[in-house]
Formats: sequence, structure tokens, C-alpha cells
Amino acid sequence: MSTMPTFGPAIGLGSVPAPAPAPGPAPGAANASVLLIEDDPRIRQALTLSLEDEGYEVRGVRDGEEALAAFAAHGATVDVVLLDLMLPGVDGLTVCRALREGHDVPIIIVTARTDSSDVIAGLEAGADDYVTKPLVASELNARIKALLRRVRGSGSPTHAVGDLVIDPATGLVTRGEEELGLTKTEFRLLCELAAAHGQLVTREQLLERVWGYGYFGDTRLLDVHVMRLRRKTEENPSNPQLILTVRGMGYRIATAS
Amino acid sequence: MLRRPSSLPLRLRLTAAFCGLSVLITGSVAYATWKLSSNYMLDSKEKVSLNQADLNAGRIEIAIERQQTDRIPDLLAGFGSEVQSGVLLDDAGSWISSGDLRPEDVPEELLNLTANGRAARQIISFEKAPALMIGISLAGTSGAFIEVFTLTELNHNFQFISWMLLIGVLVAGVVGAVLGYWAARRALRPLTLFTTSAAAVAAGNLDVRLPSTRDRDLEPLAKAFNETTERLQRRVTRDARFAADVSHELRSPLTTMLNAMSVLRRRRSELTGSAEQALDLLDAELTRFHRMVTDLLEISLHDAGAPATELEPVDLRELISEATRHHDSRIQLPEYEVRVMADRRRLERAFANLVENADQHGSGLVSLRLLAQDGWARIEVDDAGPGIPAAERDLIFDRFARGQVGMAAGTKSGSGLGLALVSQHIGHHGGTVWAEDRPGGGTRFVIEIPHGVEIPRGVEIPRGDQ
Repeated sequence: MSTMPTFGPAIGLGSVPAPAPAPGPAPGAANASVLLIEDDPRIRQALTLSLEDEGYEVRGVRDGEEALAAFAAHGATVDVVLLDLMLPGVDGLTVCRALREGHDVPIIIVTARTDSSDVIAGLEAGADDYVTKPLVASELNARIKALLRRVRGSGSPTHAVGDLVIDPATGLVTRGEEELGLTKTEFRLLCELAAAHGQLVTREQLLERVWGYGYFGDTRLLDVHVMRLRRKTEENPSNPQLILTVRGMGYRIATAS
Repeated sequence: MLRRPSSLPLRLRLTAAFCGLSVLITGSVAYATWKLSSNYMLDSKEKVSLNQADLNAGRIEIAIERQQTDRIPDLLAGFGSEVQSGVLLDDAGSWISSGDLRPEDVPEELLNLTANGRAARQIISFEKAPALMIGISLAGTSGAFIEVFTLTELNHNFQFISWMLLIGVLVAGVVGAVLGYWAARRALRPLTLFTTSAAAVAAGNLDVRLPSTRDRDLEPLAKAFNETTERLQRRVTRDARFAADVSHELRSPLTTMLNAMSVLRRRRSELTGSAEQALDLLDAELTRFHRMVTDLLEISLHDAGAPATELEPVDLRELISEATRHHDSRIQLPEYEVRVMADRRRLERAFANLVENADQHGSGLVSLRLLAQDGWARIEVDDAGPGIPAAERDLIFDRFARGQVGMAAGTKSGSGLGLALVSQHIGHHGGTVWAEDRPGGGTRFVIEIPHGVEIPRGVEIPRGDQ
């Protein structure tokens, strides 16, 4: 599934500044490709210019149809999707769900307001993070970098958590023969929890390590992701046995077997 | 012409009217009752007495006829101790009596009336008690038989009845007053409700509505009140929404401008003298504009009734050290945990704004202290600035208010909403914020937030610091 973008043929080591097309971990910010879905042409243009300044390759489209067409054509080379939820025609949430279908590409949604129900709806539709207008390229850069960051300890061998097998090298989680199809962010969240070996990981720690938010991250972001992760990993998501909530504090992985 | 409104409250007037009316009606009835019953009783007494006196006079007449005048005292004594009798034998005034009755006790008028074979009666005061005196002319003589019946018992009955009636009138008066008070209160209840509702609206609670009523007199008032409040609420919400909508709409062009500016900023070195200055100006103003729009959106969303965010338990020490970017000895945090229920983002914003205010307008932050006392978390933010005149201390929390101090210090990037947001956010946490003199010069901003809420916690697991 996760075919990484290739920036030309792999030549000898050190001859090309672009990151080696390694499986699993995403490339760094430099040369990462952004699919920008924004209907306001001026915003699209300004964001394209400033994101290019930050070192991204930007492909701007103006609505959902174009976005899905562009993704079908160039999906393999897209590292991050920046999606305005307020779109003419096919609405943002539908686009988000369609993009998420079978892809683990990080999606950042642009929502109307921090406190709007769009945030939750977008996250439930599969978005990895959200920003609100006015969004500035330098801040976006930080968000994208956090999402594209390598999984900590990605060099470590596969390990088991409960009945799941995590393979940091490929970014895949399997239960028996079945591959669970986690997104990159879900995978990193699971890895952070697994790395604590059953100890509590606070919400703040998780937000900082997975999204780079620090202390004032939006806990809804985390809660919706944990819910999504449980939906994929738990037998009964409403009665979790693997990812346990420590009320008012954070989460931990059940280690007892 | 309007009647001059009475100075007495309606309730008192109604009470008095009910009381007065009640006393008047029962008083009239009581008076009539007393009059009728007393007349009847007196009449009966008179009839009985007259009969008895007539009978007694007959005996005396027989005695006189038989010339047995010496037997008269025995006869008189035989009439019973209930009565006092006396016999005037002739004009000469010879008088025989059974007891204390003396001729002087007999009024002249009565004697005159009893002449010529007639009988007369008169109520007199005998031995300081009311009594009925009956005189009957004795046939065949010029004399008269006088008999006095005491009315003491009858008088007691009269007194008893009149007391009863008086008490009845008084009780009726009290009952009338109570009834009047109750009726007034009942009649005024819608008015009381109206008053409290109007006061609530005046205090800013526009959700107040009067309950619908089937009373035809009150319905128009309730309807008018509810419609007025409704219109007012719509208008207030619309005004609040307007600010929110404007700032919301401004964010799209702002996004374009900020990103275009970041491209320009990168190429600043390619510009020359005045173009470079112009860019810097534009950049600074754009930053301020950005701040204004986001602050305005934040403050107006709250006005427009944005849904309240859920509060979560937060250790203020942690929050303050994250919110203030000065991680040095000026930030004085206690050893103990100070846990409050908070919207972290908003509280962080309030502290950050106060520290920024100290830096921009107060010649720099001197210290920030956190203490917990008596169920309140207290945060003091001190600066070494020129201080704020007492008259301006409340005004600085107004929107776009800039005191002389602020103007003097030169507002560089402030939106004019910073302290208003502090006040709003602290209020959201049930707390208060105010400014006072700092001992030793400068200003001290004090925040107090309720704390000490015991929050149910999950299984305590030591934090793993992998």
C-alpha cells in the first residue's frame, strides 16, 4: 500500500539531496509535496507561493472533484493534503473520506473555527490535524513537519503489543494475518503508547510527540484519534481492552496478558 | 386629566379598603341586631313588670278599699325581694315603702303621669343601677303605687351582647384586612413576576419570558413584554453575530495577505531603502491587524453565545509556566499543586495577555506569583510601570480602551482587546480580575479563580519518563 514518492531514480549515495525513497517513514519537509484544496484563488495563490518558499512542492486545486482527480493521477507523489472543509460542490468532509479510502496520506483540514463541530467531524472523517484561518505557511510548515516526522525508533525490530504486531520498518500493524490499515498518525500514536510499556502517557505527552503541539494542544484531536485507533484495534471499541483511558490523565497500553 | 397617584402602595390601599368595608358591613348588621334585640328584651321585661305591678296595685287597692292601710307594709314585703315598692297614699304625701325606696326617688314626671287612673313607666337609675320604675294610680284615691324593677340582669345581657357584637366586628375587620392583603398579593403576583423579569432583562438575561396566561387582563402585558424581550434578544444576538461574522470574513483576505507578506519578508534584502521601510510598516500593521481580527473573533464569539467549552482539571503551575514565556525567577510558583477547573486555552491566553501587557505597557514584568488561599487560586502579576490612575482601573478592561498610560507607553502591537479578553476569560472560570497599586510602584493585576474542587481521578500511575 504505502508507496513512497520517488524523486527521480535512486542514484549512488549522497549524490541526490532528496531523501532516499525508503518505505515507511515519510520524507522531511524539504521537497515534500502538498496537495492544496482551496476554492479562494487568491488564498490558493498566496499559500502556494509561501509554501514553496518553505520548500514544498505545491499542487493547488479549487474543489473536491479536481482534488479527487489530481489525487487519482498523482496520489503516489502527494505527501500531505491540505483541505479546506468549506468547498463548493462536493463538500470537504466527503472529499476527506474519499481521500482516506485506502490511503494513509496525512490530511490537514482547514476549519471555520476552532470551536466548531467541523473539527470533530473532520477528524472523524479521517483528518490527521486541523488548522484555522488565517493559516500562515510558517505555522503550517511546523504542522506538516510534525506529521511527516519519522516514527521514533523506526529502526527497531517488530514487536508485539497484546495480539498485535507492530513493524516500525514498514509502518504496518497486523493481527495474525490481518493488516489493520492504520494511517501514519494512528500508527505513530500506537507506537508512542507501546513505547511506554504499559505506563501512563499523558495527553500532553502524546500531543507533543505525535502532533508537536506541546502543552496547549487540543485534546479533541487526541481523543478522536484514540477513538479511531480503538475502532481498528479493539474487538469492542466501546469496551477497550488494549488502549486504556486513565481518567483525567491520559492513556496507557494494557500489558497484562 | 390624570388622577394624582396615591402615595400609598396598592397593597396597603387594598388591605385598608377590604378592612374598612368589612367593618362597615358587619358594624351595621351588629348595630341593627343590638337595637332589635335590646328593644325586644326591654319590651318583654316591661310587659312582665307591668303585669306584675298591675296585679300588686290591685291588691293594694283592695287593702285601701277595706281601709286596712296598716296591712300595706306586709303586703309590700310579700311582693318579693326582687322589687322595691312603695305606696303614696294621698296628695299629702304619706308614704309607705317596703325598703329603701323613698319618695324623692320618684321623678315628678312619673307622678304627674300616673294621675287620673293611668299607669306610667320610666327607666331610672336606682341605687346606681338601671331600673324600671312603674307607677299606677290607685283607684279611689289620689295616691299611686310605685314599683321599681331592677334591670341589672337585663343590663348584663345587653353588655354581653354588645361585647359579642363588637368582637364580631373587630374579627370581621381583621379577616377583611387579611383577605384584602391576600387578594392584593394575588392580584399583584403577575406584577411581581413582571418586575423580577424586567429586572432580569435589565441585568442582561435576555432568555427571560413571562409564562403565558389565560387572564385576559394580563395577557396583552405578558405578550408585549415577551415580544419586546424577544426583539431585543434578536437584536443583541445580531449585533454580536455581526462582529463575529465580520472578523470571520476578514480572515480570508488576511490569509492571503499574511502569506504574501511572508514571501515578501523573505525577499526583504532585495528591496531598497524606502520600499524596505514600507514593507516593515506593512508587516507590523499586518501583524497587528491579524491580532485584532483573532481577538475580535474570540471576544465576539463569546458574545454571540458560542457553546461553552468543557472545563478540565488543570494544575495552574504547569499552565502558568507554559503560558508565560519567561522561565526565570520572576515566576514564583508554590511547591503544592493548585488545581482548578479550566479551559486551558482560554486561561493560558489570559495569563499570556497579562504578561504581554506588563511587558508592553508596564515597563516589563517584575514578578508573577501564584498562591492558593481559602478556596481561591490567586495570581498576582506585577510590573514596574508608571501605574494606573485609580479612576482608570476599571476602564482598562473595556474593549478598545486605552488609558493615558497605554497611550504614553505607545501601543505597538496591541489589539485593544487584550485586557477585555483577560476579563472575559477569567469571568468564564468564575473568577475576577482587577488592577491595584503595587507596593513600591507600578501596577499589580490580581486574578482570583475558585479552586479546591476535588476531581475524581483515574488510577494513579507514576509517569513514565522514557
